[in-house]
Amino acid sequence: MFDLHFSPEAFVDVPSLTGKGLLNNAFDLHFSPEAFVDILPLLGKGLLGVFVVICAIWALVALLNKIAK
Amino acid sequence: MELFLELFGNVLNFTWQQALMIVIGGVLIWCAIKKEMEPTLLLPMGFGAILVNLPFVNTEAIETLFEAGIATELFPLLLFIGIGAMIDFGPLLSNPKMMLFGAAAQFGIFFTLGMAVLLGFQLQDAASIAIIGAADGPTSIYVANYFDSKYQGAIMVAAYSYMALVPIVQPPVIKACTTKKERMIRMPYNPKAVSKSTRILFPIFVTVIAGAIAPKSAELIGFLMFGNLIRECGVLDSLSETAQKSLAGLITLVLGISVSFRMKAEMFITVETIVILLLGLVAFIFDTVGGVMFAKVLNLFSKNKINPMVGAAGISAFPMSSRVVHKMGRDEDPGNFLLMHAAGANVSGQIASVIAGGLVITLIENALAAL
Repeated sequence: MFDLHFSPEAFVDVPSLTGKGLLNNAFDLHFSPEAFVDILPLLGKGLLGVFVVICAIWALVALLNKIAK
Repeated sequence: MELFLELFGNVLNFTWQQALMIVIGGVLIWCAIKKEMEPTLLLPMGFGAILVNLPFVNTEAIETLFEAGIATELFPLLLFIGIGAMIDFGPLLSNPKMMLFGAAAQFGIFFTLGMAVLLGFQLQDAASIAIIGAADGPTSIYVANYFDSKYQGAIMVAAYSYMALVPIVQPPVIKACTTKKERMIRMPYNPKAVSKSTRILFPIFVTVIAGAIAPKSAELIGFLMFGNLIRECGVLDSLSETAQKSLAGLITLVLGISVSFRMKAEMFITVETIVILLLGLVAFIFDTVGGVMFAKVLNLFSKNKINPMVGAAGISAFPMSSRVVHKMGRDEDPGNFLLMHAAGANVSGQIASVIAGGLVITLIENALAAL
């Protein structure tokens, strides 16, 4: 049977008013300098990789512009 | 009273988070219609956000669309066919050194990845957030979905909102990084002629090269280049038009509303959403900084000076970024015509952002496997 009931607390969600509601799905905001330092080589590789592929494409385009006239 | 409750009782089941999401949906719709900010995506997303946040609503249809098109990566890939068919790589092919700025302007992705990790996000989520800096909706959806990020809703809102805000975000950043004298540098435009053969071979070879070096980008770059090949081959005009209009329009329509499945209040109204919106802005800012600073470094070694603003056009927000740079150039010097250089950098950014997405996937997967 459908249980019809008035639930103001569901609307207001009291824990949220105390700030806990927002943090219930717990993102743990914390500074992790060690994790940041660990990931630096990966970031460097990624950016370098983009340049490598782009330079390869640049070389291709230069070649195509020369031969495909 | 009982009859009233029986008929209208569900209204009383609204939570404040759902109400807030409906307001947010309304704001997205307002931005789409009144401000014309990426209306093709923001309007469906806004409406979808309203729909999925009604209490006890049945979201099966939207969930089905999400599972069919987003979870399978199908929608972003199909959209890329349409985008590829819309892009004219001519300005880039006639002036290929502009490609370097496309690469440099992906700096914001990697910078933001570092910042997200610094703030405590897990690697997969940090990568999904950082890819907002690709300034490319399909790539952002592809990567965020690949890592099964629970922040897809926030990532999409950030990505598309900032793409629409490029005319507001980029100019102050560019001005902060450059002097008036640098902004007034003129760049003569002497394009090399581009043969039809080059235009046809370009998408094929780019797919091979990018796919061989960064295989995780092969699908994305492949579909983009397939669309471009349809455009350039000259024998599929009707397919090209279909890809540019009907296909792109249809996919965009369902993409926006499908993404809203991840905009349910419990997923969206979180501290992380605010942090993600801020990190998205950081990504766009540092994309711009990366492109501009790269141009300035090149100027140290180059006899023919490059206007550093052209570097900012390497962001993938096409064609808005190139128009912004061109306008800023004309504001400083009405005789300065930077559009074609900026357009070359801008389309290069489209390619570079896809490659960056593939590399991010590869590197993060390898890092996780090594743990």
